[in-house]
Amino acid sequence: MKNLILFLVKYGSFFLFVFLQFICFYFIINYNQKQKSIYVNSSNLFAGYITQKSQQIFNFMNLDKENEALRKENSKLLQTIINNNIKRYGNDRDTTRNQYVVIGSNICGKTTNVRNNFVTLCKGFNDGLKSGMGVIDDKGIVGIIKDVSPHYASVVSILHTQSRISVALKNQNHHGYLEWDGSNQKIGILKAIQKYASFSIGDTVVTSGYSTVFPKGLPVGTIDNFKIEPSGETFRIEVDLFSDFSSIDNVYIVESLLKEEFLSLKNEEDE
Amino acid sequence: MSSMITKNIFRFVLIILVQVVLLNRINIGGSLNYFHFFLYPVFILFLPLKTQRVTTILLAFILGITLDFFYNSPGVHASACLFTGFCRTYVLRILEPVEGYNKDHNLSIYKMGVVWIASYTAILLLLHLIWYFSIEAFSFIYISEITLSVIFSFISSYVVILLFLLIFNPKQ
Repeated sequence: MKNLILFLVKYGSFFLFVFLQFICFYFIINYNQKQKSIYVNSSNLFAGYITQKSQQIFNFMNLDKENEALRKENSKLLQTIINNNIKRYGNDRDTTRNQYVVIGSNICGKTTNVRNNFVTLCKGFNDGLKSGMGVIDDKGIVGIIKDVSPHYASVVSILHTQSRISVALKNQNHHGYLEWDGSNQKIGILKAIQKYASFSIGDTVVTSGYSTVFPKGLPVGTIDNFKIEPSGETFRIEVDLFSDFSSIDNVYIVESLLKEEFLSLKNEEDE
Repeated sequence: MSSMITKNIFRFVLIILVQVVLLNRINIGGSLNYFHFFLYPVFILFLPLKTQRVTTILLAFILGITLDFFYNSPGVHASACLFTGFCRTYVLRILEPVEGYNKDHNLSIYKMGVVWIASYTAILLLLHLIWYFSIEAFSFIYISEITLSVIFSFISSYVVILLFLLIFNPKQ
């Protein structure tokens, strides 16, 4: 008690000052129009600033969720586009059914600088991924899934010396396959185009749709350079790939619902 | 003691009357009026030396509130006066002569000398004006207006206060 009194005696004037200042500010803010409006406005500004900043932080924390939602939406749209294209140009197959399903994913890892490159997806067979599905991104094609674990999937990218994708020249029936020679990650090699095919540099190369891995007509790249193979029957065409593997992040996995049917028929043919 | 209280009540009334009736009506510079005449800080500045700090603050608050009634600006003058009263002790401590204050004396030109009074008044008046115009503008967006008002009002108020001190110069 004695200490309290001593304390008050020592600092009493200070507390009185602060207390009376509070009263003054109460008066100022409540009974002066100008100061009142400034107070209200600046407190709004301040509060707005705080709200905005915290919103930014929470946005950042929600970025993963947000990205996943966008990927889902994108894959839905992509699915619609792909299926509509097939319905429009396809034969009179059952048009109410979707032939392709698209699943979005982000990538967990990739290599681009060795001869056999792989991309690792952050989704596995728990999310519906299976071996043999095609992987594309917003620009072009990425590769084909080889192995799946519960949470991850490994993709043989088109920058793999064993990779072989069935492609065609856009708006023409000539088709061949895309390989990679292991040197330039922007350039794929298109082989087996017959030598009587007519095309020019800059023409677009698209997927052929013959394998059911990729739907028909997905862009792959543009013709950069070409020459006739030593055998003299086919072209060897250098294709400038649309997919930029150095900046790849969001990919879409394409699944054909008719794949089993297609493959079983093919197997019967083979037997 | 009671004569001192009476004298200060008289001073209080006189200062407020001069401030409100006379100085408040002076307007130099038309619409861009940066010249304001502040006499009333004199009351806080020249309270007797032995006034308790708490008393000083309370009296400053009462002075400010009274002025706010006349100026119709609740809290603005009170806040500035409070601040001045609060700072008075520190300024007195800074300016304390080597031999210390004689607690029975009043602060006057006669006792303390012109230089001491001039610097003491200048410091506290400046603090008062800075606080007052900041509170009046209530936002540092108006920093240029605040600065101009402080500078010009300091000049005009300083002259008025020194004149006042010369006119009402307690000799004892």
